[in-house]
Amino acid sequence: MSSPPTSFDWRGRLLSHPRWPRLRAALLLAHALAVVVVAFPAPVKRLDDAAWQKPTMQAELSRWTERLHGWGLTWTQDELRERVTSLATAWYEGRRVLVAVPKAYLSALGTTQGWYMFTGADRVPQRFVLSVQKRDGALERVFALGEPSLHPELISDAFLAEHRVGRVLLLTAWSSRPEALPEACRWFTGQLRERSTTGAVVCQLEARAVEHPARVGAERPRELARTWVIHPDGREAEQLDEPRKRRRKGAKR
Amino acid sequence: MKRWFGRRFDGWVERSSALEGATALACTRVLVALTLLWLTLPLLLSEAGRQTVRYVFCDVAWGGYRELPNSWFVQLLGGARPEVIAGLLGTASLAGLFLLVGLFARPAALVAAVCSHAALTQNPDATGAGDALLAVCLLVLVVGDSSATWSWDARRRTGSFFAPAEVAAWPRLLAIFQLTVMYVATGLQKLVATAWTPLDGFSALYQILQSPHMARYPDWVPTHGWLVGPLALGTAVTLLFELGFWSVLVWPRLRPAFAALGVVLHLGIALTLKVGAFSWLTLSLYPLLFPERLASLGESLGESLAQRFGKRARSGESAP
Repeated sequence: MSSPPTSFDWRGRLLSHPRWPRLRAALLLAHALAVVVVAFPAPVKRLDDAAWQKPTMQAELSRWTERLHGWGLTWTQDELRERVTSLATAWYEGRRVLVAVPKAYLSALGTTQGWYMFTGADRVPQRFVLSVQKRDGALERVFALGEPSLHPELISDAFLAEHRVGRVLLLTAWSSRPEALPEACRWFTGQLRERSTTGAVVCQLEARAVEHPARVGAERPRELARTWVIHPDGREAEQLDEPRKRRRKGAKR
Repeated sequence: MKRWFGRRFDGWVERSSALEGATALACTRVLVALTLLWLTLPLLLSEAGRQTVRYVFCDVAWGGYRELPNSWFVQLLGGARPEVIAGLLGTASLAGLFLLVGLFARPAALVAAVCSHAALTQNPDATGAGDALLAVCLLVLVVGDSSATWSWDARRRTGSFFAPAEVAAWPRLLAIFQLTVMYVATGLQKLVATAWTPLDGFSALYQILQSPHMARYPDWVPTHGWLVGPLALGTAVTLLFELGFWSVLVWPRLRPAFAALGVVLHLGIALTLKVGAFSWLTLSLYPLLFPERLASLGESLGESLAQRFGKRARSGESAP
């Protein structure tokens, strides 16, 4: 008769192996290296023309051009933009290859290393404004992000105070996906319809520069950046103001 | 050169094999557990939280606003539906309770990590540094023996909730290193923006605190012009703090100063900006900067608490 199988204590054997401390130290170093390589700052994506058109990016470009002039580098804004774009693209592409393996390892662990926190101030934030069109055509505001809800029975302040809601609504302006605004608008329309609101729902991105410390008290006009309308019958469309319509016609020609 | 590396590596082997007092890791466990509960319970229990779950974490087919790239785990559970997300958050909360009292702490940390990661990082539009840091904190609690003391596990093992114990030092070293990388990386990232530098008068905080998306009181700053100076100072100090945090690895005597500054910084962030659990999670890692001090403090506190509760228990037994 054969003797019963004994359990193999692999963990105990590994931990008591004389080489285990050195192996553990090496693994810890490899982990630390992966963390450093992946966490090292880099452009999060390629800089395209749309990104450069953002007022915040334009302001940064203008300030850096001025500063470089002060240091004796007489590049124009366009030259600087081209150089930064090619540098960022090269960095982005090179890094993508370098971080592929450590990034896959850290993603499998769930410890992604995205430490992009308040990298730059959004100088002209576009805030999401939700309104309902009344029978006489006038707009009744439900809420504008960053202000108390005017109809908390429809959309509550507690909901708007959730940091993830703010983040998603920030992307209606900053996302590279143009459908981000219609998607948000459809969701809020659904919420309003559930609460028996019948008029057309109007979602707008209202741009207004933040106050700069060098210009305290200066006028900061509001401007509509985008408007999306969802009618009671379900039709939906982007609403263009006159200057925008003219620009779009010109571009088509 | 080879010898130099060899000596360094031997030093690292010795350091990573060391044992130390368990109180610092226990403190981090309790703080991470409290933060996890603070993060998940409102999403489950409040109306606004449930609405947020539907909006942010559910697929458009189940009441969300967009199609989500579901992970295989969420797909296996039936997709990003409200009940699936609620189930994941509920399980993470339960694991958080186990972590809080220190019962089966390692498996609880693993369950919390898997469930919170699956639920909270579902939507790439809505995930950020706070979620990444939660995963890091929970990983530290999976690899470290965080319930060696001040825990139900310690009571089961030794008969005392506060029994002093020694644990491996390397999980704590790993956590401090990760904290340092996080601060330095975010500090370096800020250098591309003029608002964080003298090029734009250290105006970053003045402008960020007006963000309708991130700031708690976006209209407050422009009506208080006197804040220009203090916020410029705050901007400069924040950048220097982040870029200089690596020095706590080299000169441990700087740790109290950096920790004090960090506490002020993160309380300021938590009070003025909507960043979720990020500040609380960062502060949860701060006890790991002071293992010796916390070990002696924990030991004396544990002894006095054990004596007090022991006496009560004895008097309770002798009562008629």
